[in-house]
Amino acid sequence: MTDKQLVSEIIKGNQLYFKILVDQYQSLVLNTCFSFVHNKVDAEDICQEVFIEVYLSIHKFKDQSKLSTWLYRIAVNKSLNYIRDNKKRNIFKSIENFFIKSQSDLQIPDDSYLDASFDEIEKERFELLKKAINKLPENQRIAFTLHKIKKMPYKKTAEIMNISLASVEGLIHRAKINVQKYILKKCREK
Amino acid sequence: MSNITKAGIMKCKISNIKLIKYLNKELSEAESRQVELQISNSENCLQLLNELKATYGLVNTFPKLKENPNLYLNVINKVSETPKNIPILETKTIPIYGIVRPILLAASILIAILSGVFIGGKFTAQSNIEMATTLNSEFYINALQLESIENYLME
Repeated sequence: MTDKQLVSEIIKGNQLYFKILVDQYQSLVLNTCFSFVHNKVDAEDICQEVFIEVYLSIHKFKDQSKLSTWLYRIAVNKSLNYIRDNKKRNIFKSIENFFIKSQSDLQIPDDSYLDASFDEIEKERFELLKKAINKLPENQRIAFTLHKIKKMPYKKTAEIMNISLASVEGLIHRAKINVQKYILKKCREK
Repeated sequence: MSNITKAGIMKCKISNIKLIKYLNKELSEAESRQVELQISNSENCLQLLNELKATYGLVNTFPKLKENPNLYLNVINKVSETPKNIPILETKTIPIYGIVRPILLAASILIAILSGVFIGGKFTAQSNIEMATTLNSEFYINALQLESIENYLME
């Protein structure tokens, strides 16, 4: 079944086809969100929000792009909005913590999604990598995540970000160097 | 990172940029050979390079989450809970709000500047006169008061 047929059936109100869409693209959306927010529970919540938006605005989908590209765009936007809101929340939290020493300082990182083969050293490395990615400017972060983590080709990354191929290449190169610089800096500090 | 490596890594003399360029194969052949030589002579640099490789290499093994079998039902339940007119209202209100907000902001800034100029001008003009009269009156009142006290004492 083509994307066009799937979408037209959903617009007609055939919920069975929406279930097909959810089953087909859940992994793509969920793992895209996860690669941005690096938290299992948050990624699951955002994934649900993405499919709610897809259901409510499926009529806005244009045939010019692929359904997966459209879904990627929604997932990336929702994830970035979440990160922005989270930053604001963290600022307020840190102000609150400054005045009231609360138990929120004792947050345990969620690593339940990690492979059982990950030992303590690898978990530490993974945390460092996540921090390095989180420090990137927004555009570099999107390009790096889509290309390096989601293994998306340059062309598709450019399509999702709606920028030129050359810009994507530049962003990824700069992001890679920034991530590596951060890792080295933290390794030397230890 | 193991405890043995932690102390040594700091002592590597090769710059971060050079190490990164070496790892990404962006150095010339001569430079590359020079870095290789430095690394082979320094255990600390080798450890630092290995740590960078191992940490950055995790990009390729980024974990994947398992799908939620109830996602479809959760989405449908959430959608049925939300009133149908919400998206329509949102699309209608956003452009109006987008136009009105900057106008209101500009108007409030203009009002604030004009009122500041008006109040400031009035305040300085009034304050000079007020200051002069209060000084005079204080002097005059004090003199009278003193005079009356003196007269009273003389009597």
